[in-house]
Amino acid sequence: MFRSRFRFTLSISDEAGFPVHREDVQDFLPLYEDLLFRAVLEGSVPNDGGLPPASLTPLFGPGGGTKVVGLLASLPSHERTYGLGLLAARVEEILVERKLQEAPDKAKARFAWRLEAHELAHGAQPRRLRSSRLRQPYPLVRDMRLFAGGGGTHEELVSLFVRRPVLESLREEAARLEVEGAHALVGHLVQEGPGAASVVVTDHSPIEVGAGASRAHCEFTPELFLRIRQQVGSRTDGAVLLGWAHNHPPPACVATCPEPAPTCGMLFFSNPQDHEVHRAAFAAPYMVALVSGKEPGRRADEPGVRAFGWQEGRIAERRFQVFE
Amino acid sequence: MVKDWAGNQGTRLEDVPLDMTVGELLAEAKVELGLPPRTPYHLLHNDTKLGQGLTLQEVGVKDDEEVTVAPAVSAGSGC
Repeated sequence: MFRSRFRFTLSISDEAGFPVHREDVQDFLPLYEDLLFRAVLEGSVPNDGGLPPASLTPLFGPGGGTKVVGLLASLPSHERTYGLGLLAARVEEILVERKLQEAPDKAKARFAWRLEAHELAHGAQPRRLRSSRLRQPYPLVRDMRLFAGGGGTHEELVSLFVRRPVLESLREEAARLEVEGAHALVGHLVQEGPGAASVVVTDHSPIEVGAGASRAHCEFTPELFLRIRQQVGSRTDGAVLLGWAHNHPPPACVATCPEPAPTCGMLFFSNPQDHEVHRAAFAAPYMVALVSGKEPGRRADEPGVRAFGWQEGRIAERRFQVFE
Repeated sequence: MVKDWAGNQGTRLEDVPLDMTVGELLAEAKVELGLPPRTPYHLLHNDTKLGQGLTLQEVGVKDDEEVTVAPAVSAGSGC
């Protein structure tokens, strides 16, 4: 985890400049994971489950002051600069939660946000309990025979491959289901060389959400997560958890829509709901999410699939390739 | 020891008083593990969700035992 001499504060103000929200930001875990994963893939940090110390330093604008324009994350052997885009989803979440906007992307322009950093006094923030962090090594394997997809193009840190039967099954289910359903995605994380890896999704298994699902939502209880762990842990093929999949059923109005191919689409990764699930439960930097649902301009019974995952500490859409 | 549900990471907390509530331990663990502050999480022991107002002694968590932290979240289109 990061150590920093600074306290980071996110502040949001309305169009008149009036502050509407202010909170400290301490959870930079996705950023640390991105930095560490890159360093492991490049070979500058061993993949031994260790947690090398890292520092987080604010980058200030040319005018000085406390306004942060970027973040410099440093391991002893590796450092990287990050923009503040990773906080954009959090701002949307706060605005929706505080009912300052109805849904993400609506009326966003009415609000402005900034990250501020203040240097901490020496010895500030005493902790109650002594602790030591532990983590598992990334489940990297080097055996390319695990999938027949060939190497990735590596324009992204991690290339994503999905086995065709998995994709077909998700599409078929999305065409049929009128409530949301979910799956655990399993497969292999393959290191292809220095600085490059592929997430290879070979299989999926249904997550029994039971009564906790409707046309618009799908609940994941803590007990359900334990069952997913047991389910994946009992596999004998060496496949590991790589993420999750769920469908967005078409809105009810599609059934009576006069257009044969309405332009509405359900292939999005909603914020805060879907983002929160991914951030809270699938935080490893290689983990992905597949969403299946109606594509704009296509019939609801011909659904598509899109992929999302971590990119420089934030959740973004990912390209993927299909293999047999 | 508090481990995340997937077993990828954990934190070993020392000298945890048995009169500490589950909620207090959860708050410590969330900070230690860098979990999103606004997302609701729960602690589980032997696959059972622990009541957050109870003390560790009351729920029967002993020294050196492992508890799991897992979120309670909902995916959805919101439509």
